[in-house]
Amino acid sequence: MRAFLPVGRGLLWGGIGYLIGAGLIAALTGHGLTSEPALVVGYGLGLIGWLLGVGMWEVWVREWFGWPVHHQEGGGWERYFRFTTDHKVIGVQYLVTFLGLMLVGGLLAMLMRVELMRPGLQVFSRGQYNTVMSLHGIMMIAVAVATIVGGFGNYLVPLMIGARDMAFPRLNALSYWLVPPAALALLSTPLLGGFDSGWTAYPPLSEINASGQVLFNLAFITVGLSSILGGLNFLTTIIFLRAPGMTWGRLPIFVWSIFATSILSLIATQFVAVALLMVLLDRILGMGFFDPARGGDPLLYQHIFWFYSHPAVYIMIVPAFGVILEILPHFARKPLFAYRWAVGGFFGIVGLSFLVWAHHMFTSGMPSWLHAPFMVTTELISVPTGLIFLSALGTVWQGRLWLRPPMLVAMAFLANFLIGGVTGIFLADVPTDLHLQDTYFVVGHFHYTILGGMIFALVAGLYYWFPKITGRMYDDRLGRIHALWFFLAFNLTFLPMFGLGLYGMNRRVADYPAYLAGGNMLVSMSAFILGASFLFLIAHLAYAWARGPRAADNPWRARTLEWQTSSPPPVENFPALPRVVGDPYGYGVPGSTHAWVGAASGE
Amino acid sequence: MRDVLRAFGLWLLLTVLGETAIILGVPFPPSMASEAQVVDQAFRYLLIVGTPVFTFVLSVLLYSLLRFRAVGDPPEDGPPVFGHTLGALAWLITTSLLALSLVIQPGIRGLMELKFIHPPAAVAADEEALVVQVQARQWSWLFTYPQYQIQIKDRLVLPLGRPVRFEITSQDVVHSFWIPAFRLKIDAVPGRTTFLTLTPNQLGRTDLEPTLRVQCAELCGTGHAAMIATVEVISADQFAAWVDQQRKK
Repeated sequence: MRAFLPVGRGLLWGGIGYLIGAGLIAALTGHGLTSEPALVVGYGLGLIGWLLGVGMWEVWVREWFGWPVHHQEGGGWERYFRFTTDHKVIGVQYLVTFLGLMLVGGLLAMLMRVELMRPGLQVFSRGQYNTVMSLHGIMMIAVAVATIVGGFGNYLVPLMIGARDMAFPRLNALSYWLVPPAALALLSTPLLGGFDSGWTAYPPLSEINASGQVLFNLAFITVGLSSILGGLNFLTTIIFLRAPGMTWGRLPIFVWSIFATSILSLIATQFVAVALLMVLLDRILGMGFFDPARGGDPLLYQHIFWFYSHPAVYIMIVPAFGVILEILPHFARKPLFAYRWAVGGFFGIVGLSFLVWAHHMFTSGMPSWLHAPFMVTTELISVPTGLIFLSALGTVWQGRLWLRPPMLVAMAFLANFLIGGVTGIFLADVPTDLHLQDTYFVVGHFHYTILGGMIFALVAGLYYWFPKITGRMYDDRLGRIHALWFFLAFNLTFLPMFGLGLYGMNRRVADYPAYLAGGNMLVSMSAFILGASFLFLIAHLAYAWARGPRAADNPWRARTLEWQTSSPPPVENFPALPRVVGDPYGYGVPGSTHAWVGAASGE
Repeated sequence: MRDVLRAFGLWLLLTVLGETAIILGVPFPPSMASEAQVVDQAFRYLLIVGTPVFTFVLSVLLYSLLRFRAVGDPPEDGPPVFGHTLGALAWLITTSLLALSLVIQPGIRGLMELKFIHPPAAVAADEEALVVQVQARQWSWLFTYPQYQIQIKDRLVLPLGRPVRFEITSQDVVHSFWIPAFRLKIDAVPGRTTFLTLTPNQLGRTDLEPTLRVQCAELCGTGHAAMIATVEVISADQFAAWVDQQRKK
């Protein structure tokens, strides 16, 4: 029970904080404890109370004033429930938390597909469906933004660059512990009438709907803060904590992808926080930013929102490219092809991603002269993405493909993302987008890039780094069966959506005309098989973590630094500071070495 | 070299198969306005151009999976190829040209064909056009024909072959005015008027052709899925009769 003391104290102090904040506002305004102003102030104080209770009181307050501190480092599984500064513990905390959220979000998707199996309303009322759909959307957005960056990024970036920890370990812990209250807030939205404006929360709808919307905005802003702090931490870590000899030209490609992503997280996320804050100010103080009756403009919100939310899809996919390009050379036993061009591709994507946002608004009623320039920038983003594919295909070509589970899922990623990319052209080109915008064609397209792309990369990465993180090995055959199952079920689910969209099925609907029933039944059935593949994956990995055979330190014979230490690595990562002397991907080069680790580095 | 030739053969084969399927016919839903042709042509053009790109990547992946499987576990190292600057440059230039060509055709060309982007004033000058004012609200459509002083809810009646100019507004939240059989949509935004111009070129009605319906396409709250209006496209004579009948009411 002692293990749960910090979390318990966090909940208690958070609850007290909420009651103080909401109580104060309730006393001042005469409304209840869940009026919208009370929610906002209560949430703010509750968040601070939670953070202090869960561990910031010791680590930030007591230490700062020089009061005696009882550190609780070390320990077994209990350390995952504490405010811990070890980047590896934080990485696992992120991974497990967000995989859990992914299962909840997936369950919501299953419920949506049950409702959509047949025309008419079966399970939900229209309002309930909208809340379930909106919750699925925002939870999966959070999973897509944070799981690879927060999980693999935290766990692996310090290891791969030969560092002991992140640059700001306490900030790192803070970034993680901001997540649970946001998740709690999202899951409690149904208590306040839910929210039915999707994850995009367009006003005026998001300013006149139920109070669940307020919790949504607060949760989104909180996760955004976590993402901003994480970006800052990664940039600093990668710039300043690289081991001797780890030049920029020797940086593993996954680290490069996290570096590029962190620029986006740090800069772009602030815009969505502003947009959501303006909605809150409109709701609570009647500022009228987006209300035409008060001189505001609903389109203003869409511009600010997408100024973040398009870069956000690259916050999701660039680390996924990083995972895949990291896996390919080790499993093709070849150097990463056109490494420097791939890094250039990352930065091309980062730069262009700030110039394409209005392609989400081709049918929004914005001035029509904006169509052409945004179509140009959007089509151009296929050029740096093409460099990523050049690197991937060049690495695979004439390799010695070692078809273990990580490699199979990585190859599936390339096929899926190819479809995601090609269908993106139909949405970037204005004449076709005028028909396809807001239909299941869009739903199919972004699931191909986010689920078929980012989540496939996450699964490939899980198979790849699982032995390092847990020190255990999963069953290879079950992994390969799952890879095939996952790939087929995914494509069966989302390929028919392009046809549904073309034929007039609009997105975010609880119901549809009867002529679309056949395609929807197919999608639902495939979706259930796809959902089961996730349960299988989690059960398999959980079993392997508990009972699997011990893993070797370097089961893939990979060259990068994280594999040159024990599985799992010790708290200080390496027995001595590693020294980097060569290319991380120099497979087939006689006598090539990436790094000296351990006694050899002492000289 | 042999691998390159074989993979090239696979690419050709897949491309020919793909293009043949496209030429034999993409199963588009019924196209019932002249503007819909522009959209469908753009769609078909993108399929034709996109297919070789798609099959190229697919061929490399498939061929590698079949021919470059490792023997031995763990396998030997492969050839140390790091990439060629000239090859990467050629790739960069090819993809850039391809992207730019798609911007011009079907992108900008399509935009110019659609009256959609013309300034409202230019369309207003076209006196022959039927004007329909569309008011969207949670969760119904109100259509006003100012030239005939007719107002009707959730039912849109249009004459065949005459340009229609929709002037679209919203009374509450953002909606989107979409008729799948016409292929065009535009949001209804509170505080501003948006425009859509199109010419129906097929007779039809919603109960016979379900893609011929007004469907709200932007999430607008509880009743979003059911925010549908029926559409009838009738001959000019029938339309005149319908107008008379409505005005008598």
